[in-house]
Amino acid sequence: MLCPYCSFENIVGADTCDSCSQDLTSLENHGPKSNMEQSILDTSLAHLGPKIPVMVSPDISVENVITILQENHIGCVLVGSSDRIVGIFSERDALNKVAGRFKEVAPQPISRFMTSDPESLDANTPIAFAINEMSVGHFRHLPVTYKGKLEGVISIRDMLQFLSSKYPELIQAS
Amino acid sequence: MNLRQALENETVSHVGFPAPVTIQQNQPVRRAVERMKRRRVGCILILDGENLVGIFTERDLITRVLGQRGTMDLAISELMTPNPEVARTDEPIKEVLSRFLRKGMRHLPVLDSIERPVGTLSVRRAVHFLSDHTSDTLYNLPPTHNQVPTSRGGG
Repeated sequence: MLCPYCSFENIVGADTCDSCSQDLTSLENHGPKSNMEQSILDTSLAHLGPKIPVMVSPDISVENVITILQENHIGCVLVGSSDRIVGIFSERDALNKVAGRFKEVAPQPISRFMTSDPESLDANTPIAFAINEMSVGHFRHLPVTYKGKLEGVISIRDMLQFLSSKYPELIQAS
Repeated sequence: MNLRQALENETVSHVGFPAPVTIQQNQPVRRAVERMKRRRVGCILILDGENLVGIFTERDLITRVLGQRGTMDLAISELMTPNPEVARTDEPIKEVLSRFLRKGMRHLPVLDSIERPVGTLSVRRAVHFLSDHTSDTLYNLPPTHNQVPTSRGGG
């Protein structure tokens, strides 16, 4: 096996490199251990089929956005254009910033209440990254871009669906 | 333990869930919403005494409250979803994941063996659970997905 530090070819199973004495034990089992781990590294977000989101302009009123969420049965809208996403407005934003003072904020532009500059990931990113990103950042939705242009949005539910398709005998989706 | 073993063997109480945020059913919607905001949760369990009678979520806020005059002052029991699906502490986690997928909800109230609500399990927590068991894969990822060393490291 190849030493990552000096590229010396060591015999398989060596604990230290014969040439530079670096520790090689971490090379032993650094790969993914199961099919699922392999599949979330091999499969890109594009494979999940990111859903086309509803886009709104930054100056649309809060009231109109709430109506859009109600009528389209969706949990968030993206603010901006597909070339440049400036924000995201989700149910959580509605709870935190709109509920309790709807009358006052209804005519105001959504740009004042959205979450600005949301995290996004490239369509070629492995699913593992998105899972990590959503877990760490507590996001329910992630915009997916391709060459800087918006492709769609993936949700936590898409992740569960993908994982269940890998283990259909364990997680039955229907 | 790998993910397959974990899915087969672990129960809801192994996965862990936060204590529930609750409110009595005769309280106004306004108070429920304030409590959700303060506790930073997406759903609140509605109780009659100690018994679970319903659930109220961010989604319900959007569809039944916002923009509809007077709704903030109604009793929460009028706008909650009554008799919600539940998970049980001793239920295998794979059953709960299936339920999330099949029924499409984002939160399940967790009941213990004597039917007391003891927590709320979210889809997000379920994804945490999955990622915990693929932790080696995730934790060893470089900060960007296409990062490759272009030169030999060290000095």
